[in-house]
Amino acid sequence: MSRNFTPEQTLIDQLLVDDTSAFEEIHHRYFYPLFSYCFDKTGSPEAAKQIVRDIFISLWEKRHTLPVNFSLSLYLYTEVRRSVVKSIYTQLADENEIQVTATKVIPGFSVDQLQKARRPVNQPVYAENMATLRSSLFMQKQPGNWWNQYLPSIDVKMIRYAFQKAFNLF
Amino acid sequence: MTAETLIQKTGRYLRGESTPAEARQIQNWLSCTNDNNRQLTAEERSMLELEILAEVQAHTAYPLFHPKPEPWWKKITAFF
Repeated sequence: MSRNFTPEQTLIDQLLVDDTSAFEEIHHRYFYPLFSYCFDKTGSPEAAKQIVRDIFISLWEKRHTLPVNFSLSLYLYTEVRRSVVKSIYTQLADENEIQVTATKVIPGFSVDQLQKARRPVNQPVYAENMATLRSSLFMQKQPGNWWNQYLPSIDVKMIRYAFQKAFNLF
Repeated sequence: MTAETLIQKTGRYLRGESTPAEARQIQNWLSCTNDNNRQLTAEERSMLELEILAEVQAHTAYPLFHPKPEPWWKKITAFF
């Protein structure tokens, strides 16, 4: 959970004037997704920690040369992907770690695994429920007290989601 | 795929010399994420955050060159 709700652009602007609190807030927001991704890819917590550390060191060092339309998310996305490949390359180049790394990484390059990247992102559960609800309410109008069948399955979260979606309140 | 092939592929990718097919393969691999069930607890996460931040601070030494201003309650405490 974030400690404050300062917009990302404001944090970047504060970073330009050497505001360490803004840097720590950025670190707080992004370190765990980055660590989790790196750990998933490299299989090594040490390597993941090192990658995250290097990314934030690089961000701090480059803070005065950030471009005008700097996107932090895009920067982190690009850096983490490049760093993961670099880390894998380094691990494979090390003779002591080559077997361990190869057994962890190579199965991920099989065709079955790579095809997962082409599939659409999984929808959240209540989005699936919404699809069911929509189809049940609008597509299959049945005579009689058909709502008794569906009303117990409706929860408050789903109704809130439907209203937010209908009135564009996200 | 063997380890040697993967070394060559990743090396070419890092140098920007990989073929389009190789680059697509590596980018697809980077885009595949597993359902991560190894969630850390809040304490572990907090410790990890402090650990990484301490390493960044040790490397850049930013608290030395850009110290944070003292909070108001510390100033009042010092006054008394």
